[in-house]
Amino acid sequence: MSHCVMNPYLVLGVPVQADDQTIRRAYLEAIKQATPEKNPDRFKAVSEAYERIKDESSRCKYELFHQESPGASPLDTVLRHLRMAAKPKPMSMETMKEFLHTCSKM
Amino acid sequence: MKLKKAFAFFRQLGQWYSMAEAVSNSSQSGLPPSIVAAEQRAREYLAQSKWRKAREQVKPLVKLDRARFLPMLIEANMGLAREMVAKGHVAEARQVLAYLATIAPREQLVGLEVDILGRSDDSKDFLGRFATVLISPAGNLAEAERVRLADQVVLAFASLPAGHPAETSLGPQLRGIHEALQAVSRQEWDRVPELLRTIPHRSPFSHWAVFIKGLTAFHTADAERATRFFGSLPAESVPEKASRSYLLLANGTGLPLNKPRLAEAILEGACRLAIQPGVAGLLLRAEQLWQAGRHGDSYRALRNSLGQFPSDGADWLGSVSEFYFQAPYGMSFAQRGEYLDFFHDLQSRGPAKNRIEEMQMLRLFALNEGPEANSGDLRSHWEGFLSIHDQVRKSSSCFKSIAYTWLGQQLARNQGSSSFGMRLYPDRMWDAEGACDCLEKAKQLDPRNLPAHLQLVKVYETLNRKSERNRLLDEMAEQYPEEKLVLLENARGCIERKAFTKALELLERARLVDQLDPAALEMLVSTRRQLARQHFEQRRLDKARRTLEPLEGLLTDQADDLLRSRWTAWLRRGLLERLHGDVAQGQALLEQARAASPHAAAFLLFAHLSHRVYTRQADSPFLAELKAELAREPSAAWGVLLLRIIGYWDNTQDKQPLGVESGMLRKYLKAAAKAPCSRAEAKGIVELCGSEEFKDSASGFIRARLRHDPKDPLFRLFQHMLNPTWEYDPDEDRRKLQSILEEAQRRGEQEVIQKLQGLIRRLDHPPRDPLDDIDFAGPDDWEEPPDFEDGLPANLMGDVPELAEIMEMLANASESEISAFKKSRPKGMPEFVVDMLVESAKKGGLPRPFPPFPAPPPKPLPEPRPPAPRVPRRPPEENPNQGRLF
Repeated sequence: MSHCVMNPYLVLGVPVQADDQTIRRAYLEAIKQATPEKNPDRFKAVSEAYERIKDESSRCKYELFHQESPGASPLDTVLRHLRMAAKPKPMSMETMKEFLHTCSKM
Repeated sequence: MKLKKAFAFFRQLGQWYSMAEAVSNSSQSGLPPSIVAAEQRAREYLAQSKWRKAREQVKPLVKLDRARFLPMLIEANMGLAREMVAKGHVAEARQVLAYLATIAPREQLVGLEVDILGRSDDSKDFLGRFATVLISPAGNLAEAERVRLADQVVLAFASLPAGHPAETSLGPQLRGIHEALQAVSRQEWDRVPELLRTIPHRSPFSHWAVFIKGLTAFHTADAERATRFFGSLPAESVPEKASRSYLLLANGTGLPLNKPRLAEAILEGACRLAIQPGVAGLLLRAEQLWQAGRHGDSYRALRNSLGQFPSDGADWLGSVSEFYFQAPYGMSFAQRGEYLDFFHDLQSRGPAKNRIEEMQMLRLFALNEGPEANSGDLRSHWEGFLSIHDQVRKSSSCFKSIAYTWLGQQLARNQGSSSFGMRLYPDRMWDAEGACDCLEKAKQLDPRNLPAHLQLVKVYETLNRKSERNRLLDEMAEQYPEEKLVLLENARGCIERKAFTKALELLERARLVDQLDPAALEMLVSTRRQLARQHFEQRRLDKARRTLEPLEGLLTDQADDLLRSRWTAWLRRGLLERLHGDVAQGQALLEQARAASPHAAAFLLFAHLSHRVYTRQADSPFLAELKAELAREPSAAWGVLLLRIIGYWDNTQDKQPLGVESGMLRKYLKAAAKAPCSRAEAKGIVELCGSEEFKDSASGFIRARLRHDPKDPLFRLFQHMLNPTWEYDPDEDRRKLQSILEEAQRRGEQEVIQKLQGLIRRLDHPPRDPLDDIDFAGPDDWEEPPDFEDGLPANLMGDVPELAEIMEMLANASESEISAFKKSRPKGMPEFVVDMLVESAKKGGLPRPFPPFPAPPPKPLPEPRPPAPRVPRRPPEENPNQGRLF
């Protein structure tokens, strides 16, 4: 598998229909939270994602021709997606108990 | 009957083998062979977790040697009891435990007892017997047993009953853990540290505190801290097992794919947390199929089980759907073909599952159409994709315009039919009309789409539709008055029409837009000279001189810049003056140029070639002097400059046949190779001797350098590239390149190392040739060869460096050798190609140009042009690196 690149809309947390302004706002917000010193990997991912979809022409080209895969395999893609997506909420106490009981039987 | 005999034979064979092994072991241990064999079998059963069989095997042995075999009996019984617990057979496990209590020390059984009681409903018994164990620090529990017991306590009880002996010390800790877990589930992050304060560092529940801290860090987006906490948990404890799901989400590690049940449990935890419960098994199945190379089956597994798949949403399903449609671009050619076949098959079997699947399949087909595809298929796939896209996402006109530009570019690409390096037809566009149509559409959809305009200019130019091209260029000049590319393109058109004045105006404007663009500057200098030459030739001397005046500011002192150096400028102007204007002034300028030129031979060669171009004659007044100068002191240093001058004039618009001059230069270089020269000079010569006619000159310098330093990696590499073996053997090639690489690494020659590494990489992964997978041996693969009614194309042979060698060989070959050559020709190569080669070789030259074939008898109806023959693939023995260095 060649270069794996996560969907730029997902990285910036904007919908596919977002306009230039929305995308720029999301980008500025994202780099404010992930500065190059604090989180260089995230900063790079955010900057690359912005470059890909910053204006209408780039967005059209991305949608028409991009050839990068979001992961190296189906499972890798799901895990990358989950790492990139918003953090999940904690399990409820009941679910947690059930989960821990399952773990004790592993 | 025969079967029984066969089984008996094999059983006997097995016994003999065991006996032989046992005798061998007994000779080392001193025990009788039968006991050693039984012990060995028992160990095998233990290793295979066949506890019952192991127990039965060891029992009689214990009677023979208790000290030696009792540990094995205990291990077998412990394993059996644990297996029973895991299966929920708690009563049977208790019986085994009772037996174990008679043979094993008490402390060894604590863990097992915890397991059994943890599964039983008798919590009082559990508490009474074990909770107190936890509070006695000097208990006989091993650390692992202690952790296991603590886990069971936490999972079984939220608090201890009042009055229990351990209530005072363990009760608050247990409550603290449960309340902290509750706080985590309610996202009350501030309360968690406070609740965990009740658990001291040495508490049996301390690892639960660490787990809860890890949970807090994970959910508050501090993946690094979470990983640190989870990583410090005791192995095989319940929190450690639970943490694997969180670690999987935090950094993607910790999924043991070689243990499917465990992997599924961990993944299920992660899915339950972040996606939805119940998809872990499906994802693992899809993953396993993908890893096994069954890519289509992997897609099908998700397609058949998940209603929403494929999707284009921003959720995990959207990502995994995107993966399946983007993965082919990273696959090998063969894998990609197989995967695309799967989708073609899916499409042919029935309607797509949903619009997204249909849209993505069409995009995939269009972007992966090979060179052998039908242009109609490409267009139908791409337009189908655009149509669904419009329905699903309401495509903008910008989107459609870019899409049609791409389609136009694809349809405009060259379809030169090459065969074994020879071009059977001149290059032509794949679908010229289609290309024009698409590019026009792209232009209409978005008039600001500059690439569509520029591409359309190129298409018109290739189709020789000059008036349409000029009209478009005028239109573009109005629409993009300050666009450099448009100005340059327009200027090019003007130069072609010899409208130099207008071209100069456009180039000046392009220069104003981008002062640093060398293309604009070079075109400007060259056009001004062409205009001046036109004026000189028309005897408008003042105008000619005025045209050249502004060039003064653009000249450079770099003598090797053949376009802008002062000496070449004076030389050209001097020649034009001498030919058309003031002879004395021209002579003076020529003298000035000669004095400023770096070398007399360079001046004479440049003057001779310029004179030839200006007068369109083969001779010049400089030729005799040039010959004498070249015979004087040949040197590699000046050879480089002379080669560059020949190359420069060979690439100009007014190029003349340079056979005589090339011959003179070859002679000069042959002599120069015998004189001492530096490595850099020899390198410069070899790099410029890329064409076939200077191959011998390059060889001379390579041989000279290798005589001086036989291990020189650069010149060994040159030699390797210049003289490829006829029978190409990639392994031999790799060995040679590797040996040169070692020498280059020893000497630290970075440039050579990089080149060699690139060549070796290309040998390991040759560039993808889509034709490789076409079987030309099949009966349907060869179509009738073209009849070449109008004679063969002039550039039939293309640039095939090894062709001269073949022709030489064929020219001197006997009939039997030619017959052998025909038999050993590459697979799929038609015999008529060999016949053509032989015929041409016997005539003493390359088949370029072939005389036209006799005109065919008139036909009643005009036959359509035959379709381009299926292009045979590159023969496997062709060296992919051959000639690339140049």
